[in-house]
Amino acid sequence: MATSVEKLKTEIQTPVAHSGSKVTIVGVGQVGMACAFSIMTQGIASELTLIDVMEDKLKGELMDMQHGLAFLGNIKMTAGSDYALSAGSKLCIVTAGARQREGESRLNLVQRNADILKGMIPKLVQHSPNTLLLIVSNPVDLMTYVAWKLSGLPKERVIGSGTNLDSSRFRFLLSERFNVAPNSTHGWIIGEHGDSSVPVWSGVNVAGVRLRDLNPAAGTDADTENWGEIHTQVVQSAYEIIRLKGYTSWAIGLSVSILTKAILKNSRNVFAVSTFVQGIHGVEQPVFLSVPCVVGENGITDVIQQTLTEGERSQLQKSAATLNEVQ
Amino acid sequence: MQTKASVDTVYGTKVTVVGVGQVGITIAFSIMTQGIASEMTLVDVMEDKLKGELMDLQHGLTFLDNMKITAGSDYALSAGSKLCIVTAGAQMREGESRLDLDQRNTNILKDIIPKLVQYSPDTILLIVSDPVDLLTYVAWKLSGLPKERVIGSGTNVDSSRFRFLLSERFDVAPTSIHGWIIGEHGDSSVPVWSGVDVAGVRLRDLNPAAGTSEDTENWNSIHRQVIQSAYEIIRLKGYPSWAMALSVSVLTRAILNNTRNVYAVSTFVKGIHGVQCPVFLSVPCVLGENGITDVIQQTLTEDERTQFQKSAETLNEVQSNLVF
Repeated sequence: MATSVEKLKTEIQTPVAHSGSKVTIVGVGQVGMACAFSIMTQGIASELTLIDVMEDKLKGELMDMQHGLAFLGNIKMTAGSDYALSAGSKLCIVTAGARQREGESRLNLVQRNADILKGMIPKLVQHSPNTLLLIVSNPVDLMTYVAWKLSGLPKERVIGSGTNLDSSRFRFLLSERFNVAPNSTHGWIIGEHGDSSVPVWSGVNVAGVRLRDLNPAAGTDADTENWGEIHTQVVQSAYEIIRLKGYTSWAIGLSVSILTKAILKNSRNVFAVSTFVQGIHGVEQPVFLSVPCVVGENGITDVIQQTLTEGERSQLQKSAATLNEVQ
Repeated sequence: MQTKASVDTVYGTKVTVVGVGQVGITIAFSIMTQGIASEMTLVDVMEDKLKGELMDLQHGLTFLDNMKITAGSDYALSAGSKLCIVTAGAQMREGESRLDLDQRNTNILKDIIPKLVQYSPDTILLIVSDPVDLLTYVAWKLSGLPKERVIGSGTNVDSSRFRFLLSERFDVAPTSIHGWIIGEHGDSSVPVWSGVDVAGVRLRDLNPAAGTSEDTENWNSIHRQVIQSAYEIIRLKGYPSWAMALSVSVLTRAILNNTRNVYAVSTFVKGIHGVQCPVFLSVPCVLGENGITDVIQQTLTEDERTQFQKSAETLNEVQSNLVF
């Protein structure tokens, strides 16, 4: 006897098993789940897989997310500890790793997280040979380099979330002083996602009007308006938020989701992300640091050549040297 | 830069969220990412957590449409809210039933509700704290507001769980499966099997026994799964957050944008489906800027009516034992 479902539907062709824009997120801690929820609620991917080692947490998070689907565009979601679930991903986002402890600098996380990546990256590439990798785990510039080495992928396809978040913090704090919306305030932070990030003050502008034209000393030690304090606040942000609420999640989740959207939709937006910078701004070492990149379906297609001051160039080169040492 | 006009505004859509636990802050994030409100205030007692969450949310604004976000422990910050969402309250412990939370949370509301209404006399209250039906009644009593303006998030999330689980069996999108769970947001919720349909084709027409004890396809296991969901999710990941946040943010959007969508929310149901006690339970309601404007009159089976009335009586019993 036919079931209710058989009576309801007449199949006319087999549905696809894996849809076009599939994303895998490795790591369902606070950052991983914020990325997942951001992607889900903005309708960015048609399929989302969560991978981790904690089976119970994975199952609970999957259920909780799926229970919200009646309010959103449908998306196929799976979760488990088996990397085979990730097969067919256009993009794999890696958030797994030890969390930055209160007071701990990002560079101290290095060895702990490099070992974790060794167990992860080859499996992701094995199941999705054409995937892009988006690395979020800290210290992100180092981890992106490690992931690239472990993956065997061309460097354009291994991207670090980098200073996209720092730039967003920068723009928010600038927007408070200018009293206009953050996305009408333009400014870029490049280099290390961490204590030695480089704010490109010459580029800060609203409607094309440069802050440096209004105040030539902006961001320098001679600046009476002390714009440089904003960069200090950006650097302190993560430590401060960790101190206050235990971890950061929402902003990084949004940052990653916006990068995900650009990749999946081949939108060719420009974002500050961590890429291979040997040969850029005088960097001689084979390291990953953030510069503004054009991002699309096949990864990074272009690097925007900013005109940096001597101070900004040397800061970038110094970060590269430090990273290379650790690597 | 030239200043053209004062930036103070009495227009716009302001929402206050009370309680920045996992549910409250996820609601806030959900509202922010979906561009539902132009202003949002977070209120709680934990100053450090508030400040950290505020910073973290604001740092994502560059990727979204701008909105003003403030946070603090002073209810004066909530002034001028069109909607106040109350999530504050003790969390359900593993194994604890929702009704066990009652007096703990009543006391918490006594501190919160009068202040919210004082600062936003025209606000609508959306109660999320569990046990939600009971606490919506408590909030109504404490607020002095007309009953249409005090709403409980109710079985909106139960219905969404129901529709997701049904969608797995039907293998179509959850938004293309229609089904309503009404009554108590909890163990005695009522699935209205007669209304379950896809493209207007009723499950009960395909299987007249669907959802009953004679049902060979055991559709009712889906309802049991819905009831177990919250306990299961708590056991697996510690607390539910994502689905609840989405549920509340769609209710928020309906209210702020006066969309007149229909949702299963907890409202005053004396006189509905034969209920004689002054209690709040979920039924499908039309939501708008002034709160609940209509209740959809579903045709329930005798069993469904009885279950509904029984929930009402249980609630009434508990309510009469509460100290206000």
